[in-house]
Amino acid sequence: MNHTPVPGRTLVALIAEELEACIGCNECLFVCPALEEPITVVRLNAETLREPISGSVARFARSCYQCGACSAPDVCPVGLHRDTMMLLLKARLLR
Amino acid sequence: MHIYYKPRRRNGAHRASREHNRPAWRSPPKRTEGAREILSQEHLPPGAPTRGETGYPWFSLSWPRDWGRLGATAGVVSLAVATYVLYLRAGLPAEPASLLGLGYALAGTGCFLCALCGYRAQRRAHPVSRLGHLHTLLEWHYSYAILALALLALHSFGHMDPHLSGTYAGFSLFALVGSGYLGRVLDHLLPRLGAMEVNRALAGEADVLARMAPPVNLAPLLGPTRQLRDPARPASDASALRRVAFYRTLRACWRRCHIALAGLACILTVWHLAFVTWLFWTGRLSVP
Repeated sequence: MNHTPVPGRTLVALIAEELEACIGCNECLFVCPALEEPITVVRLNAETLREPISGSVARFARSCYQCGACSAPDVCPVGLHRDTMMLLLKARLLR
Repeated sequence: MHIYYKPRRRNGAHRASREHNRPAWRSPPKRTEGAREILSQEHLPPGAPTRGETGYPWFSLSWPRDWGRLGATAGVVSLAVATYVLYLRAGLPAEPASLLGLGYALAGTGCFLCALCGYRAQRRAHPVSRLGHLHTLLEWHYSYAILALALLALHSFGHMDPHLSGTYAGFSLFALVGSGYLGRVLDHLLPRLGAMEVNRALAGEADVLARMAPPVNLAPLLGPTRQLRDPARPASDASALRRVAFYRTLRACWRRCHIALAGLACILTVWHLAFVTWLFWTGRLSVP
């Protein structure tokens, strides 16, 4: 196993990097069983870390049950961890 | 300390685009980046709402959006119950093998099959037609489960004899639907508990950043599960990571139990159908 060593970094910094790497294909949202209202991954990315959370994204974050379907190996073409991003969004809702 | 983080890779057509989009390894971020950035929200444009939507209640009842599905479910259950009452008032034989009982059995088994296969088959189908389609299918999965339980309960006409094969099939279906609703409760509670752990760890991270000390490292959340067992990880975030991993494992265990119960209900239903078919075939049972 060829693992790349990474110095200690914060979760937020790592998620910011993953958000930059997202290509916006919406595959993670297509396979999500919790998504009720059609929102785009661009909007979700914007509100995950920085922008104020809109009502539809907040409802989606509350209904996400961390099933991991979005982070399955054959879903995201870039190999991102959408479930952890959603966890951070949930933590933002608690603030 | 080094945390070994390997971005997920996959063979296939997307390799080139992934390599292109994969972020290059950079030096550790400045200490001003990270949790403090989202906590202060200094980046917001002038005039923008400072916080946006907040709040994550333990239990929440959202206003239903799909009234057609709810109406169809309630309508079928009401119709079945009304027919049952009228049938009993007419003094007709209240037996599972009666014409009405067989009708309930047929409809209930159909709903059971729809609940069993519909969602799973559609989930595996790819590409999915539109955003939110899987959620609609999942809601129909719940509706079909309720319909199957109601119709098959009416099919029994209250006969719960332990010598009947249908009793075991009915109990297994009841356990299956019950486990499904237990799963819905867990699906709401466990992610919220995980978010509380992350929130607590992020708050600690912000405190550490404010003291200009080394930041708390939550990076293992993004990596493979075995990173969670890294003995070199600071103890401050270790408990949070353990709990989040435990919640995910708990949900995975529930899912396996639910699938196992579905398999058991299938086996008992097939056994019941085969047994009843044999009884009809040999003339030991007939429609009254």
